[in-house]
Amino acid sequence: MIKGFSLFKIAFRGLVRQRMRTFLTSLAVFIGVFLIITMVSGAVGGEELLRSQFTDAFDMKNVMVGPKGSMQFTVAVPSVEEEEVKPVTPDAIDDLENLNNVVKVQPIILLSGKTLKIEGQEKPIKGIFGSGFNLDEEDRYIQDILAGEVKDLASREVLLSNKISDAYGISSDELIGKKVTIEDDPSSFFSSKVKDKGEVYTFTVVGVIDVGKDQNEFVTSVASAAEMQAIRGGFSSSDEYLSEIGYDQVYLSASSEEVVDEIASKIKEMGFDAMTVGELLDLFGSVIGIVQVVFSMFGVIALIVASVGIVNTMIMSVYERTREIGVMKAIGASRGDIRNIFLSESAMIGFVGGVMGLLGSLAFTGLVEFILLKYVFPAQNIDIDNVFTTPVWLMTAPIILSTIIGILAGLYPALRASRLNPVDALRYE
Amino acid sequence: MIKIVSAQKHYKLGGETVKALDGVDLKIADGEFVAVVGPSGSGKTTLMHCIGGIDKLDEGSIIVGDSDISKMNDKELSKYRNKTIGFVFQTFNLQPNLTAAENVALPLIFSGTNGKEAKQRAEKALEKVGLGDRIGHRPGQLSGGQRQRVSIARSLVNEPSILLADEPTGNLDSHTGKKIIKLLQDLSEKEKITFIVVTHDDRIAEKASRVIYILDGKIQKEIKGRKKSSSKYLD
Repeated sequence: MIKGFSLFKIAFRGLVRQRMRTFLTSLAVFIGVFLIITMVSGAVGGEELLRSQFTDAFDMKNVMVGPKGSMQFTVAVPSVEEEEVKPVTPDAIDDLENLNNVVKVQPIILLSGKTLKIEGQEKPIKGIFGSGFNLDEEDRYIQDILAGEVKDLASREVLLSNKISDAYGISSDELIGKKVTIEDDPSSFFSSKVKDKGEVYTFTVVGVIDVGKDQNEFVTSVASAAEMQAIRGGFSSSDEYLSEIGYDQVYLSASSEEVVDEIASKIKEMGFDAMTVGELLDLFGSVIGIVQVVFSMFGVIALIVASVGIVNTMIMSVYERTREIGVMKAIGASRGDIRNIFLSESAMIGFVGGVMGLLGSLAFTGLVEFILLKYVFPAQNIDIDNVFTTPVWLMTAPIILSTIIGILAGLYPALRASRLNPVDALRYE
Repeated sequence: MIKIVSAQKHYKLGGETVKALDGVDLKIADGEFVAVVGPSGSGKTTLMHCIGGIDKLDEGSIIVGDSDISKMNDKELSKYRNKTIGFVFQTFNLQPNLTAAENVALPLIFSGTNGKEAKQRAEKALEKVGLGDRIGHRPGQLSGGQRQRVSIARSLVNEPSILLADEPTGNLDSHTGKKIIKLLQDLSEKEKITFIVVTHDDRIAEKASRVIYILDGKIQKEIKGRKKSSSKYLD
């Protein structure tokens, strides 16, 4: 049996003999690996981008809480149509606050599908979203306020998004102090849970904020929101509304990332839905994982096609070297030796094609990313700092795959070569 | 000692059965220089192939030393061909993509010798055949005679006990052929190997200690001792 390095030397020389043919065969492998690495790099880069935007927007220490069924995308929650849904009442908020390791509990009332009218402007804005929650000095909205000055929201005070001032074509400062009325928009898809009894609710604008996604949004205090909902829903008081309907969502801050899962399960035991950012990211991650697999399929298919080329090349090679194989057997090569020589050759084709594919992909993605980051994105004002990410596993796995494909593709020709009858082989011209 | 007993080998050619070996009995002692002569299709090459473990008898046996090679399996035959036998072909049969030294080293590589040791032994073998200055050349850079020398060196590198040569001078001009014959003769005397040469070349036949004449798969006659050149060996 041939020992170690000599095998590769013999195989390498065998390939070098037919330089063009070897090159063309591994070119197909190159294309396959290039595609896999390039496309999955894009997917991984995209994932990283989204993840970082996610973690910028969401704090890992947060848990989102809601009445059962409100977070339908958490898997394994059974349908709760028949059961009575337990509302998130102020008492429940107290219970949440009393949980171990809970630092802050922020109840939220969601107000969707409204129409907004501003004092001094003719046209109302339809389809506006709002939420009521308790802001404090440290909140981003107050820290990064675009116009006006607020410490916290008093009753009937509201913050508007800068999209509204843009929509009216006025500057953000002009909105400060104006009265706005908010009404239910019956034509909206997101009609309130509560039947609007026709009351118009009036706020004073105290600040303009950047909500980041250019949405028509307004922000008010929980108390104002509860009041508004109570009046419009015909409840005798905010308390009644809150005991019956309760808060729509609660943002809960834990003391550390490690305890969020424990807190989430306790909340679920309490009869509510709870979702950690981690769970959200996992969900997100599994979707991205599928995307990555799909992206890699292009290259994998190319590799499968390339393997057919390898089989063909090796069969031709074995045929042409029939006599040579007979001679090798005559001087003492065993069947295993012959088989291993040809398997090494096809493995090398796969390996070299794979390495070339990796290098080509790194060069290509590097160049494209450079051009995008330096010229295209700044010109379009796109704030992205990473396009392609090629983790180590993505650099090595495709090469291992291409080498294995080389071995598998070469198996049939190699076995055929090893089984040649020396006498017949020697007779060959 | 090689003992061939009632060797039979036939193969089918276009529907007809051809008897390549039709009952051959032969004994060759260690260190003999034997020439096997006969017309084309007489079975001489088949006989050599069978002794060399490349081809298998249909009936009979070939006993080399203590082993009956007609009973060996493929693995054992590979080993036999590697260690006991050395082959020299008419058409040299060198690997064009390996250097002379690498070609000569091949039998060693196949027996599991590591690259470094194989290289050293190969270079020594090349020096033995007078090609110490050509170890790095590829066959394409060598003349016919040089290529045959490389082939001979390859056949000797694993120190076999039997050297089989099939028309070693067949592809060489008479001058070069003469040199090769001299080389073979020298080696035969020095290395104490059993030499079996299939040939049409009188000059080899006359150097042999024994000439075996084969026709239609059977040994017709044997002539011992060295005689002057004469075509009476072949008629």
